[in-house]
Amino acid sequence: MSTDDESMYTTVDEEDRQLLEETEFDAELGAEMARDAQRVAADELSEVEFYRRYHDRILEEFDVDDREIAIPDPDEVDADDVNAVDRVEEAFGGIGEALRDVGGDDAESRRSVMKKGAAAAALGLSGLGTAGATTGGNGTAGAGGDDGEGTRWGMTINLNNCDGCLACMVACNQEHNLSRGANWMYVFSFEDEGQGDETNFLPRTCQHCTDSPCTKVCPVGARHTREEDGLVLTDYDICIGCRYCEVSCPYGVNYFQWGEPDVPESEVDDDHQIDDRGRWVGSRPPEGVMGKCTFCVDRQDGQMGEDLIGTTACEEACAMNAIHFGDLNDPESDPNQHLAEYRDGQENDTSTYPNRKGHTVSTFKLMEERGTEPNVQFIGNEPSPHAEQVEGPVAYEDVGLVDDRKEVLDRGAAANGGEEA
Amino acid sequence: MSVDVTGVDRDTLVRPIKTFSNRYVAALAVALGLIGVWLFFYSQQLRNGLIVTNLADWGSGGGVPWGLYIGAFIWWVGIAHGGIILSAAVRLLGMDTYQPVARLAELLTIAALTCAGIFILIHVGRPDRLVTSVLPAWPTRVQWSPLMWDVTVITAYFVLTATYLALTIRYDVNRLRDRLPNRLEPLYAALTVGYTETEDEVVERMVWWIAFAIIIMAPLLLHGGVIPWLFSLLPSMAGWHGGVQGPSFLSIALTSAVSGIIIIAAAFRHAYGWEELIPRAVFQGLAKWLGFFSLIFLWLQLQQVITGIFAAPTTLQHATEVKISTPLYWVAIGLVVLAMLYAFATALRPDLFDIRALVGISVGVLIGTLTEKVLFVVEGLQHAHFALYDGVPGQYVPSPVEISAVLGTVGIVVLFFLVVSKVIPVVELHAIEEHEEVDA
Amino acid sequence: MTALVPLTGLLAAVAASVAGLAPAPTAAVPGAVPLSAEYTLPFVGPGTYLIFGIVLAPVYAMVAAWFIGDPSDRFAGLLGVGYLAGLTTVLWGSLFVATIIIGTVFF
Repeated sequence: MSTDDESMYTTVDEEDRQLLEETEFDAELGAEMARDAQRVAADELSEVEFYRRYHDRILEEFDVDDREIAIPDPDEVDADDVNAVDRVEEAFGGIGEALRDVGGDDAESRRSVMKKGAAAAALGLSGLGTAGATTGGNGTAGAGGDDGEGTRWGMTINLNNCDGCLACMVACNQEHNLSRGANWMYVFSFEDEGQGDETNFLPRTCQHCTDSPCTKVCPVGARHTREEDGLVLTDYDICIGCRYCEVSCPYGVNYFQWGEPDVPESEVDDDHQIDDRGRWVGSRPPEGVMGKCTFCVDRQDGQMGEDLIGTTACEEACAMNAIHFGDLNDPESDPNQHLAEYRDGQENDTSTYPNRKGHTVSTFKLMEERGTEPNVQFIGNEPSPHAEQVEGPVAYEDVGLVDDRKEVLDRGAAANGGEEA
Repeated sequence: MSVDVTGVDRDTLVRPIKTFSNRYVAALAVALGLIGVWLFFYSQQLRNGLIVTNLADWGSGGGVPWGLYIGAFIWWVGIAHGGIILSAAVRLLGMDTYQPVARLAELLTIAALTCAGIFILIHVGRPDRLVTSVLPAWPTRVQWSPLMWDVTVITAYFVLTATYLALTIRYDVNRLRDRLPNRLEPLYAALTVGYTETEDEVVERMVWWIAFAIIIMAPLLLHGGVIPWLFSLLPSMAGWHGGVQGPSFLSIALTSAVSGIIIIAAAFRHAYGWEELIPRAVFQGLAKWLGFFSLIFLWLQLQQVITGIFAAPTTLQHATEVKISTPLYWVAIGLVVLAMLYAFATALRPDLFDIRALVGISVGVLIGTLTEKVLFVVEGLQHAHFALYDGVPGQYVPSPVEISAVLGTVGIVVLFFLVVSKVIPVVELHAIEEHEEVDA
Repeated sequence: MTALVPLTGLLAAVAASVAGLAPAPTAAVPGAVPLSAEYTLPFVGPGTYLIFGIVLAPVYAMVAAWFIGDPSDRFAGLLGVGYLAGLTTVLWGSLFVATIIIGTVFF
């Protein structure tokens, strides 16, 4: 079953790329498709309908054989096909769309305008819809050219380099306009058994798991994995705030926006909030929905400039070279390179014991036994079950952060919600 | 322990509809008062957001994201099971003793499930989106989300129970029509649309099948299935894991359910002088069921404690140790132990039996089961597998806003019974008249 | 024996997807990890089997029995189905109205 699914991903990705390379197609057809692609992005037109509408004309325009694979006949799409979701939505979509439109506030209508803009901007790459590889994918994954699986954003965090300065947290909070105590990045300072009073550090982002429990349990599909690059995101327009994702996450990275965010909507740029599919997934969450680290989705979509694709705010702020972000599918990417170099620097003695591995570097993924397949790997020693959190060298208050969000919330509760949180 | 109440006349049956007392007005005022208090607090929550509760975030935030609201949700669904136990006992197993309280139990199911739904509505951060997000997502998300299974099965449970009531009521309304108030004529006409006496036999068979469907679906697959799975399927919290959660949840549900029926039945018996209609033997029987379910409840708690402390994995051991060192847990257990001892004692020495004492015991059981449920949710969240967060443990004490919701939903159930008992007979005609004796 | 093959295949698939143990042979190879697990695809989740195959099975049996078997009656059966459909609509419809009111007043 899984092999079939993967081949389907591959097919769609490759064919999209082929389509993008074929730039000299009929201009009229192009213009029409561009217009309808915008409608697809704005959810006015289903992907299946989009395929159906242009299937024949594309057959004329391009190599017939290629297109046969590229554009699945909607009537023949099998149940395992990624596009089957559209068929379901087509069947129920009328009601769904009507329902979602009900009670839409001003912000949402502004956002739907934004969606169309975003779609137009991304047309050249992702106009064909959600299954296509997009901006980030071409920049980084193409360079590796190793596997053709597309981008899978992830991190290598070298705990041996971290000194607990909290600069990553500060940078993250500023870039994403987080409310006090809502820390997307969180740095644990801890002491462990058998290590005396030596303080260890563990910076914790969202692990952007490949098999993320939060995505599984979300009742409304607001929490989802972005197909193009594996980011685990929350659609703030759909989330009902049931907090099931938070309850299911073994890492405790989710939080609920209990009151009005500290930074109001008017001060947050749409560039940071709307991703390349036109969905509201970036920056701090509005009141009543879930928030967590997005791996700086705005950066990965090129909204902060091409240079910042493949970087995160925490990585940029880290002066200790502890955080390495990049495409885990690309052997040349920063996280893979750093790990390789670090291993090279700590060679094992294989002259006496030839069967030992080539290095002495310990790596781990947080609670891998939970089956979540995290996309963050750590260099260093995993905290034991007896590890205990201690005060770090830099106090949260000193850098303007709040460690215990409950205090902020309690104040808000006491003030009857008058205070922001 | 067969009980014959066939001597009771039809006027007794419709007494709640025919009478109107000051006590009724007082009960109405209390119910509306409770609902009013809750609505006052709830409007604050809507205005300011869920920040007015004492909920917070597990993890670095320090606190619990699920609390009394979710505990009370599970509790109400548990109470709702009373309807199906009684109806199943009467219809599937032929235990006619409980026929006089069967419809009261079914009505309790409807009311309790409504309250459970209200807790979901007030628990979410964006209640305005509940329908608009859930319905469009249903076809795809029911494939995966246990919460969506939950929504699906509770909807099915509610609809099946309401259909059961709607079908069985036709017989009674048609025959008691001359004793029912005229101003509600359009309602009765709608309820009995297309009624002919030839349908009685058919409908009797149909409701047998509904009872059959619900007895498999509701206790085993809802409260012993989908609801415990909300917790036990997750990879995050040690105290929630394990196959024992299904049976354990079910035992708590059944214990609460019998308590709920005892209280409602005793209230109607007292208010309308129904000593003949709901005889003492019904309560003695219910007391035995309460004792039996309490025993199962306690046995399953023992299972969890012993497997959690003997040589359990670190995180489960920790969660269990915390659980058994929480005084409130022992209060909950104690209340259920008390119920079990009382039930068994009165079975051995019937002269010790007293309906008022049984009602008191039942109220205690309901407090105990609510406490156990809230502790299960909250303590589960405070002791995750990922133990590093213990550096910032958050305490959780339900806020007045949250507590008011429990009172408000109790008010809703009281109001529901006050209103419904003025409209339809809350005891089936079958209870006092053998099927074949009835003629229009 | 051969007749059992599809059945055991289905059971294995259900068991694997429920337990989250679906074979992922490529996961061990670096660089070939799929972007997301299979569950993002429709009609393959455990809920499909669990809800429609197991939990609702008694309801299917019930509705079938309303129309088949003795005594049964077409009108009564349709009345029952009408109640099921109507009450579901009333339930979600009234919840919809409630959320609309909350939405307009508070959001």
